[in-house]
Amino acid sequence: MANYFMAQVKARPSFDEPEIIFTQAQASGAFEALENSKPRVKLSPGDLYVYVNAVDLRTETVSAQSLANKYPSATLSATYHGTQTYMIGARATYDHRDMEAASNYALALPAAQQYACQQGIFQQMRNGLLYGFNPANNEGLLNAQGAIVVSPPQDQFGNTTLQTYDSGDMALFFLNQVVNLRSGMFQSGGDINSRVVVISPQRVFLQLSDAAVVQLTSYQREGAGSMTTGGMIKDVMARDGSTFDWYFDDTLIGKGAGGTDAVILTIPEIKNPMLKGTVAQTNKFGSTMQPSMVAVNVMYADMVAPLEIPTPVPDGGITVIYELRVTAGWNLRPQGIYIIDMPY
Amino acid sequence: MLFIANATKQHRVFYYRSPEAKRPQRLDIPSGRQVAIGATWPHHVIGLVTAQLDSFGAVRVADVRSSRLEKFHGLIYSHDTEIPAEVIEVGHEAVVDHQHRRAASEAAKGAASVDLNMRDQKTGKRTAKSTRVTIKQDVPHNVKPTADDIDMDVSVEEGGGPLRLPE
Repeated sequence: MANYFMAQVKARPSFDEPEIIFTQAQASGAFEALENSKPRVKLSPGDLYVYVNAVDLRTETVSAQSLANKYPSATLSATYHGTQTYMIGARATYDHRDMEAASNYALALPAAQQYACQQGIFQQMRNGLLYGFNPANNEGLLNAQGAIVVSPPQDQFGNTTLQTYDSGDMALFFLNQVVNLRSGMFQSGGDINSRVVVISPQRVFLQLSDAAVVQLTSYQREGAGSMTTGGMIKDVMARDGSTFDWYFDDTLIGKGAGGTDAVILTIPEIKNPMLKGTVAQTNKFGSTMQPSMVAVNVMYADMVAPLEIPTPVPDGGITVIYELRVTAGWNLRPQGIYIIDMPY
Repeated sequence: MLFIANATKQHRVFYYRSPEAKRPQRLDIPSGRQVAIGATWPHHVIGLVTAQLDSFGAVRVADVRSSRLEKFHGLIYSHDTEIPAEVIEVGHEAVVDHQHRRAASEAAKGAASVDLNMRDQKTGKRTAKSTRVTIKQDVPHNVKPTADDIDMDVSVEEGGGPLRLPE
């Protein structure tokens, strides 16, 4: 499709700055909530569904001083989960005159169109990751079935909003949620440390990580007077080797209950503890059976970048279509995702 | 007594403060269930806790019955009487409807932003005559397409009408 690069009227002599002011969009950190921070590129171009098998077990045993006459056995029950794939497409059309006009702005039009289309597709991937394409199928991390949705209480002074909330109380609230998250997933003990990822709007995480200094009180409080809420959470979590990283996505503004901001707290991959000297591993099945899905949140794609198909069109133009097949964001272990409704 | 129902597919944890306790209290409301709290609370305490529910978009049973459920996130409360199952079911439909509108709005905004990125910085004039973004759900060969299949196509053209978001 044609492009608009108008003619310029300029004074001479003059200096033409070669650098161009390009529109900056938010660089969403939403994909950090995925296993290994990226989509799984495993789809074939024509795959319409993705299926994952799951096996649950219930083992009965018998314990008695003498040998039992009848031994119970283990019950393994299998099921499978599926999600749909969606094709995201974008098109760019231009001809030699458009390229010439763009070159007056020192701009390479094919590259500009390529990046613009890719950006559009990646933004739709982000939308699918967070909000799903068809939410009735529990697509999208915010719609994950069984996810835990939490609302913060009033702080000790009765404040409810992020901007007024007591910084120390907020830090303790977050740390408590991390404890709930890790204990619900059995991600503790032994040598286990967790990569905890938070996706929130900028105004939430910047307030917590850069502005909200933990206030001094008459009693000893972690980070009081010297650290922000975010700094204190990171510092406390680093003590057992865990990491707590903030990423932003401003589309989460107003997406919580009652117009609050939605904040996603998740551990994208599970780990199994190496318990020193323990031969009796009570999670023998779960920790040993392979191949084992360690991902908590996944999204599938057929390619790392959109497929590009350029085609000549009559009268000297070129049309390029870009397409990528993806699933929506898919939460496989709902214990591993907390959605916090944060009043701003 | 305050009854609170969770009409979502998600597990809801509601932290609240009430005057008789110094620390915040935790209330777990499993998906599709209702819980009762404050059997011994006087009226003003029920009012205080209800106000905390209100700030997270909770609605009264009467609001569900009269379908005043815009951007509904699934918390329903009732004073003194249990919440009927059909009210929770209606509430759940409203939650799913909101999720659909939210997804469609975000997708449409993303498509429109492709056009925005192609505008001239100074004049705001569009540099492309038209831009177009599609999202399509391919239906397997042996399956009949239905109205529920995802098929979005947003084009921005010169002289086109305004983009109306579903929400």
